Amino acid sequence: MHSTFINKKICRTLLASAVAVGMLGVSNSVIASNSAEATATARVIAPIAIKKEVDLNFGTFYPSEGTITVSTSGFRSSNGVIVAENNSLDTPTTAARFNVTGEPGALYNITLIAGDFITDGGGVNKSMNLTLISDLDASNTTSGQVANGTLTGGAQSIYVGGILTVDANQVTGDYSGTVTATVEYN
Amino acid sequence: MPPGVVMSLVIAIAVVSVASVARGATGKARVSATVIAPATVQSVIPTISSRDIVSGMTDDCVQRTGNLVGCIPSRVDDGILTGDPVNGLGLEVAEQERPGRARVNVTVRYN
Repeated sequence: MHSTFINKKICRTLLASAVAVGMLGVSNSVIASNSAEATATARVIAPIAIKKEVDLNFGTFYPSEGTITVSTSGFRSSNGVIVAENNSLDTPTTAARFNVTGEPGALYNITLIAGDFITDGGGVNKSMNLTLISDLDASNTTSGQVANGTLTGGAQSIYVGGILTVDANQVTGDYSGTVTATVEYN
Repeated sequence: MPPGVVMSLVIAIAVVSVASVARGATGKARVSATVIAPATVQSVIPTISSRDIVSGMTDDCVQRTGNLVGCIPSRVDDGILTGDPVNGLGLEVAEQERPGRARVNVTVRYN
């Protein structure tokens, strides 16, 4: 009888412990089941690109003090400089044109830099100062630069003219230089 | 430096470079111009049309010699001409005994 009583006591203890453990497990399950959701999104856009289509050409002129301007539409005018118009030595004047492509509707910045404009001939006056002009619609602009644009339809053109300062003793020869155009998404 | 650290640095640099290329781009255009020497006129004008000279004595000389060049000694104040073409250069012919003056237009043009 004594052993039976002990066995029953042990059983009740074990049963209570099992119930306690079960209740603890249930409690823990309720705490661990909380959760939340977040939405992840991403957008892939086209990289911006630029390609030169036309170079900038001032044509032919004589050593004479003043300036020569090629507008963004390619029209040449001069102030004090005598140009060789209607001459077989002259070449058609053109404004430079860059085509920009990228994400439709994107805004972008424009930076233009003119390198040294120089001839291989000797002498002091073998270079000329070049000031750049630019716009986005070839509207015969003769001063100033455009600083930014919008890729409407995913494309836009940048037109670049310039102003050359010529010396009365300018060295004769073929002059060359470069215009570097850098575009970057805002 | 452990190899793993080096690989991480290389991957990081590559990711930054790709991002720069996609965000910006650069293009270059050539700029050109030509400067040529101006035209000059030689010190002697070899041929003058007799129709532009109004002078009885010169006309007599031309009839006698058959050409105008020998009848008119040349003396030209030359110098550097500017422009192309150059128009309206003046030529005056003066005779000692019976003055006759005429202005002849000379045009200088590069070929």
